[in-house]
Amino acid sequence: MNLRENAMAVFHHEKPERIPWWIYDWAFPSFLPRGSWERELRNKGLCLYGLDKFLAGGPSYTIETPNVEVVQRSVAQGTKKVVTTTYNTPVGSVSKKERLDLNYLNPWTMEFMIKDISDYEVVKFIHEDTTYRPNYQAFEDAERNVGDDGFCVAAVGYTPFHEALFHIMGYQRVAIDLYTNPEEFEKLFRVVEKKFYEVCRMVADSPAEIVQMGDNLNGRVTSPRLFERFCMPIYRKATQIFHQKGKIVMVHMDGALDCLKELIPKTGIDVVEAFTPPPVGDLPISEARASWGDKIIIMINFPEPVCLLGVDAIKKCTLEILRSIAPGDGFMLSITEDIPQNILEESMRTITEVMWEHGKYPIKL
Amino acid sequence: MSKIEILNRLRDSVENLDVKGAEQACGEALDARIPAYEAVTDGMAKGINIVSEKFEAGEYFLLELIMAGEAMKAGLKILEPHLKVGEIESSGRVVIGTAKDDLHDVGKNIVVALLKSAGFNVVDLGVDVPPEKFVEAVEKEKPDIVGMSSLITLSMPAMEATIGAIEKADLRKRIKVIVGGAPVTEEYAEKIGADAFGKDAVEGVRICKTWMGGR
Repeated sequence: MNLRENAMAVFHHEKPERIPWWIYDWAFPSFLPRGSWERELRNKGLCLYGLDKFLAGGPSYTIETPNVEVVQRSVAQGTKKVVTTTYNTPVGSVSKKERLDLNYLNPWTMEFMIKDISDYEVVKFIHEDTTYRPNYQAFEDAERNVGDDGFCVAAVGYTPFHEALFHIMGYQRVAIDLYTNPEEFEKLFRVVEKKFYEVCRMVADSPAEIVQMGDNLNGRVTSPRLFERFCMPIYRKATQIFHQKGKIVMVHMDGALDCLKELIPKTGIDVVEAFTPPPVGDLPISEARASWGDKIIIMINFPEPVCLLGVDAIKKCTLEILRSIAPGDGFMLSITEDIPQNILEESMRTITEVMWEHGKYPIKL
Repeated sequence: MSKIEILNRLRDSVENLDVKGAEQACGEALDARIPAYEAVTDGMAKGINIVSEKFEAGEYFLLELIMAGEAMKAGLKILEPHLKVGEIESSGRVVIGTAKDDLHDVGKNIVVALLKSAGFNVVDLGVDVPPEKFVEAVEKEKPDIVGMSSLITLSMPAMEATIGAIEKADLRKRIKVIVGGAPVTEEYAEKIGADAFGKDAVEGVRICKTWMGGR
């Protein structure tokens, strides 16, 4: 099996030759740089995961807001850049401020679009004004570029509650408005939800076999009560849209999941991506498997702080993970978080070597 | 309404994450001539303790902690002008910040709110705090405790660099260092020479209280 076939076997609940071990396929500013050690590791089974939104052609859909003027101003601060984006609409203006770091892929939002109750109308307008168009060629290009060295996934974006948490309002404002302005929050939520399903339908018609909802789900933030209210119905409906078109559905759930473990299988999703076991997460792999049965594929995120503890700790942790998943049905191993550049090679090399030596299916450890 | 009833309302408003209720109860406390420090210590602070217990029991989550902090903040805004200097004995002095290159502040802000409600005097250095700024603050503020948080692995080495810088400035012996944040582990805290690791805000504050002997 080549790396793609090996990974796809797991996605289809078949037996792989090896436990797939992957890293996101974007070279800079984080994750796997290109060069000799990268080639060496990929020849030892390190698989590429291309998430289309981070690849050259962008996601499998494009966005237009014909009635919103978007103005950007950026200020350089050494290796960092602060970008202020202002959205001017017929119902008013909002702005957000982000810091981009050369060493870090995702921008950090310093000021969110919604700062005040009066901003809701504007943000609703921006979402209602948004139209989507297919960009399927970009996905096909990305998949061709990865070829047999891995697999590509179509990103759908964040589900509405997590969109509010991470991109529209931030944790603080979500908390305040859930308690003090619940009607406004709910109205905005419904608008974002409606647009989210539009994206789902468009991605469902794309050539992608696997789709991903971003979410960064963390039970410490999205409590069971919030999950049942704001996430469960969305996951169910989105999954239904995708399953009707034969897609495999994954959600990026890299936080603490213990309090959500009973609820997650009720969503109907197929894959939990970036499942982070202790010491960073709070749900041991064995408990997750026991709660979820064989139905859900678990893509384990190697708990990246272990990389800061040195080679022996990395080896020990990789072996522990392999032991805990033996014989290995329905599992993959990955790194989904950034690792400091000065220890990236030794970390990746150590995990790859342990996987090469002990990661053959069925695992015998 | 009796004094006990007003204090209970203060406690309940924080426990029930009711910002407006906290403001109202603070107004009632002042109208009833309840000393502001009693309204804090025997009212709202008790509410925060209950919130912390509920968080540890898995009844409350991060958003509830944020809201409890908001209720406390709203109440303190009303009571603070009526607090006499030195009326509330400080539990200790804490310098706190998010490590260099990290802009996450929600967790750190919750710790600050909980520390304040536990009677600590807190100097919040904000986010993306370089080691030299921590050193400067330790020299100037003379804290009992330095708290650092990191939410991304890339900024974790900055916590080690900060402890190193504090040591180099010969200030380490006079302070305790506590670290926290989602990717931080007990093992890592030990490796970088921190005195403790708080797995969450509530545990972090409990450790600080223990260090100060519950004073």
